[in-house]
Amino acid sequence: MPNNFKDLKWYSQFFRKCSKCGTCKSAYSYGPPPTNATICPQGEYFKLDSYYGSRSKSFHGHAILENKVDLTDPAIQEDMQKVIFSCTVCGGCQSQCLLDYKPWICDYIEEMRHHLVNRGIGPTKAEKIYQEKVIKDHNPYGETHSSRFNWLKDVKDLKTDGNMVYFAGCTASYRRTEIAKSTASVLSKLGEDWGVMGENEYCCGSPLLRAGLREEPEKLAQHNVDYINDHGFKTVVTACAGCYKVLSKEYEKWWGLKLKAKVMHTSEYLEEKMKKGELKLNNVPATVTYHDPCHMGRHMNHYEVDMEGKKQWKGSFVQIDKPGLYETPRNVLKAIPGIQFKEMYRNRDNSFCCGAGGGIKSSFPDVALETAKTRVKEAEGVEGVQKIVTPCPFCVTNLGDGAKALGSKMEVVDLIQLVDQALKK
Amino acid sequence: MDKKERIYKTLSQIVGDEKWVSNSPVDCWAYSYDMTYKRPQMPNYVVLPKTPEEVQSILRLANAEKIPVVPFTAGTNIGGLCVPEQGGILMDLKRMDQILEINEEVRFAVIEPGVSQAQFAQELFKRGYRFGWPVGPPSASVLACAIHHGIGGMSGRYGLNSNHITGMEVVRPTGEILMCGSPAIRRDSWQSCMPLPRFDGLFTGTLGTTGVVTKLGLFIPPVPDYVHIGTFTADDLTDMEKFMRTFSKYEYSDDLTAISWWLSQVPIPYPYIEKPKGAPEWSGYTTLWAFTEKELENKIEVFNKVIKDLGKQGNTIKATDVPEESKKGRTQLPSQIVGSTKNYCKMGGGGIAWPGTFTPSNRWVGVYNLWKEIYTKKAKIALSPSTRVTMYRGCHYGMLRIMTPFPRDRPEEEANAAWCVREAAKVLIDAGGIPYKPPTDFAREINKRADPGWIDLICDIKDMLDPNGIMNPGKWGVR
Repeated sequence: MPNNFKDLKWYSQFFRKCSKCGTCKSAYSYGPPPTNATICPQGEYFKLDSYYGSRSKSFHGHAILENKVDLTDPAIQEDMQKVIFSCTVCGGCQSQCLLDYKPWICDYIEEMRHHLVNRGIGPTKAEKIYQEKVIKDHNPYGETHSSRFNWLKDVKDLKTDGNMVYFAGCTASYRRTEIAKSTASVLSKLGEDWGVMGENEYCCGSPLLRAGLREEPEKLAQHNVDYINDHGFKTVVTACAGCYKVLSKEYEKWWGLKLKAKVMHTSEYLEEKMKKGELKLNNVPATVTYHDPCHMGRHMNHYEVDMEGKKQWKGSFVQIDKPGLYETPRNVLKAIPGIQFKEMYRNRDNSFCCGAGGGIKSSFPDVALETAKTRVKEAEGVEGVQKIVTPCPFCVTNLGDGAKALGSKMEVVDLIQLVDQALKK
Repeated sequence: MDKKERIYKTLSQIVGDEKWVSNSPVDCWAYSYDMTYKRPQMPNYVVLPKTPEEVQSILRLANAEKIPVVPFTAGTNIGGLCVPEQGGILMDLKRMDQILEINEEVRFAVIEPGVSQAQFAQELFKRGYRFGWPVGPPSASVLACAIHHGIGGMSGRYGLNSNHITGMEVVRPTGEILMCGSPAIRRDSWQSCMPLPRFDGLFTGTLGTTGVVTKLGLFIPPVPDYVHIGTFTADDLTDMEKFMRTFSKYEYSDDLTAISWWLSQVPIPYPYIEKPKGAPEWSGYTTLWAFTEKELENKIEVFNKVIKDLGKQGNTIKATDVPEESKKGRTQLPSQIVGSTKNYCKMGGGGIAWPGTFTPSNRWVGVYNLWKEIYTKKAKIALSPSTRVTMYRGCHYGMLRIMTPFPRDRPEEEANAAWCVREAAKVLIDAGGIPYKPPTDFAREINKRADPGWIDLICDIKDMLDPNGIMNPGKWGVR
């Protein structure tokens, strides 16, 4: 199987092009009116320049590759692990960067993690624990594999075949089963010929990839791809932003593993139904805002890079030729009668991360919680908003934790739950 | 407890939490270099104070321990000014990020050092006010720009950004706090540095070697209702300078700038490429703001008349029409697009340096010709002579600088760019120009040519204010 990962030296051709201008530290647009907002959860928490945005990461790559700091010293190893592994890899900095470094920033940060893991400077203790759980039981939560589909007990007429397979993912299967149930309910209400993988669904591999592992997620990928391909599903649908990114983009990108089925996030599936006039939604009165999951928005941007120098110069960033899923979930949300939709100040490419990604929720829970609280406060600042809607179980979890810690009345719900509610009446 | 540990502990006590202090090489490395070719030099500690009182305590500690202190806001200057020459404590001021007052009646704002251009722009725009935004990145510090004689989009009308200073709060190197300008007499009056002696000058243009400015008052003019961006070209700098000198006498321009063909490309071509035959070597723009239509019409009329009259005399200056998108870059500042963030660095490969200078306009042509020879003929690898000239208010002098991108990962090419920049600085100083925000290698060249009495005065002032020589030592090349 091909392995398309590049090493740190390869990425140095791009991270050494960081000018150190610091544009990555905040989200700014002239407008008019000019708008400015914080964008880097890690930098906002730690404040040192060694933590802020992609600028800091270019310093660290340089230090690691050229031995600018003594990585044989255990204290320095610990510090390096902290700066590299406490980043949510949300891509907020990537959205600000305008240099040739831009397209590679998130992949490069994960490669730095991989490099450090190979040198014994990582993963974090918390990551190591969940990684072992994924390897053993195919989920990071320490639950048995056999209990993965306990939520299915309530689902009538369940199948393991059909045109479409619902890939539930670990968080919806074990922690946010209400999201999995809503997804199943929506698919059934819409008359879809759908099934599940049952005990053949393994973790998509995202928690391992994000922490810099390579071989272990490959095994998970191979298993999931083989199963889906062998069973002739035409569509894979998932309600998880993290699974969506991995299934639709990374299996092929990293290992050349091609799913024969079309991969869709539930919001894409619903928008398609809507366009065909097959989504009849009833009134759900609520004033809501929308939180962009990083893995569905920024991380799904496609970057045109002129590697050969045919248009510009070798290795130059040309443009984002295909944006991530920003409008699709909004279109679905806005289509629900009774919904009053209001944007948060930071949205789309400039959305502020929920704080859970990149292994942070387990390794640096304080950073994750503070970030979530910041985001919930932002939603509270939008007049009349009662709910944050987001199409990602992990964002739902962390933002919910943030709301709870704040004692906020803000409700955090998954988009699919709202659609399910709209289809009930 | 060894010295290193003792200083770390004391710094932690001063700022109240170990979170705001580091002596880890991992953290310190991220403060060891900047956009320029300056070799990395690490501080020994980084500390992030929140209040002037914490700044005072840090400076007292540094005096007691005789260790250097380097003030830092965003590290976006193009001169290695925040790269420590002798290690020590890097004082990162980004937690002091409050806009303390925007006084719309008296038209001033009071800000802390960590306030970014982006943050200030957002707040001023809401209220219909503006500032002289430079083409630096949105993350750059407004305070640092102003106290280092930064320039911006209003320099034709109001002069340097340091001319906007109305008062300041400073912590002296020995830890005492003082006010300069009107707030020295009444703490809440930030209207002007005059008529008191300009003691703010002791802390302006001194590259962080004489104290830490913890609050700054700035004049903020209103945004006029009308704007016209006039654009023009000339075949050479002789004709361009003549036009700029002639038009600047009316003091109608907020910004009167011209750029060589290489700088007008986005990004700057790296390495050098020939200018296409027939393309004018210089293009320029002027921003004409007005509060009434009539005022604007008059300004445009004069602008067109000056061009027409010079044309009759054989000058190649011509009014041009450029796309609206291109014009926006002249007024919509601060910007992520123009300046050091994108068009300067992108093609070169991340690095940027320049001799940015204040030079009388009648010397621009001579210096530019020498620069072209250095960049396109004498350099091992020919570089684009991507030069900018901007007329400042009040007399016929202005900015003359040559933006020099280079790849960070190719040492030979980096050295080539560094050689060009240094040689360019030398011929410039010899011609009577003076580099602003000078890196140490420029400072040495300035000092070589300086009046001895002037050097003595700098040394005496430095010794008086900073007897232990802790403030950013080495930056002026005299102490």
